Amino acid sequence: MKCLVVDDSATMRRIVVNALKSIGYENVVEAADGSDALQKCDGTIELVITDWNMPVMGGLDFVKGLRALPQHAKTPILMVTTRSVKEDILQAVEAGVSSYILKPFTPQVLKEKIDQILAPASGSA
Amino acid sequence: MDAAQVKALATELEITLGLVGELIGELQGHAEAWTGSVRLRQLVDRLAARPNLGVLPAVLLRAHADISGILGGIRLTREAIEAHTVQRIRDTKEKLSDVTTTTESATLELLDGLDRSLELINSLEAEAQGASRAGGYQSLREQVSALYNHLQFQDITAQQLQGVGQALLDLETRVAAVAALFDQALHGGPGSALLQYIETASSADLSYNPEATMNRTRADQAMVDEAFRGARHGAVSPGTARS
Repeated sequence: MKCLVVDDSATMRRIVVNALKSIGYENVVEAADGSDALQKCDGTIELVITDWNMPVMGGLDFVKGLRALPQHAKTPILMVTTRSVKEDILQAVEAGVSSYILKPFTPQVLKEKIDQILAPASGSA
Repeated sequence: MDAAQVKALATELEITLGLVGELIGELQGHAEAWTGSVRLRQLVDRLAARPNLGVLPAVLLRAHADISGILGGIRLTREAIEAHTVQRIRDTKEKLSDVTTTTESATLELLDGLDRSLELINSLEAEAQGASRAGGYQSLREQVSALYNHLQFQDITAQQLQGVGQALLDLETRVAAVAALFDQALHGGPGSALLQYIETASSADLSYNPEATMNRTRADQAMVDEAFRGARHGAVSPGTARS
């Protein structure tokens, strides 16, 4: 499965990629902001893990842009962010996010959420 | 109006008042020629009774000199504010950016070291050829992975520092605006236009979250999960309590 990790922090991208590899997801592409990520969404990405607060294009705008692409209308999207207020969560849901993880996270939580959103006829987190 | 113009006006005023004084003297010296006019007699008497008319130009010149001194002091204060306070705030913001850059570099190096540690563990495990040590290598691998994840602190603190940096930028802009108000006091012009600009300029979208924190627990994730489920089913409305 090909995954896309989007975060402006090089440290966080390393940590997320390492966590994905530890649970069996070896094929990972990285992007530093929403605009860079959209350019890499060519229909082959099967799972997206994105940050919210990024320069150039933030995570919310990226998700909306991704959902507008026919080939990614149903691609599972996991938002990994420090934002925790309910208004933010509502915005994420309305944009099309499939699940939501707070930073700092553990690989166990990441695996749980990925398993949930990839499960057949999966619902929310 | 500069000092030369003020002095010219004061001189003209002095001359004019001198002429008025002469006119009053002439009128008083030839009172028998116009005593029929009551109103004229009243005006002459009132003008002659003004005690400070003659010293008015000197008083005005002295006041102008005092005001010029005060304005000069205000100008020095403005320059001092700009030279010291604004520059120090700017320097502090740059130092915060340096801290973020340095910690990110150091964290990436730590991650490199941990990657090498994990590779070493894998090599040692392959060479061990014994099930009795398998649990130990797995435990060591988990400890290293835990260290790996703890380094998320760098992203959190970078966002917190960006929040502090933005607060410093706002402070710098406001202090500069206060300094500029002194200039407006010297040369006239709109008062709060710059401060109004600051208020609107500080509300732009952020590439960081100033509320970022390392203090997240499993319970916080559970609350987020509940809110997410509620939002998916339309049960959460904007304005409800923060998690």
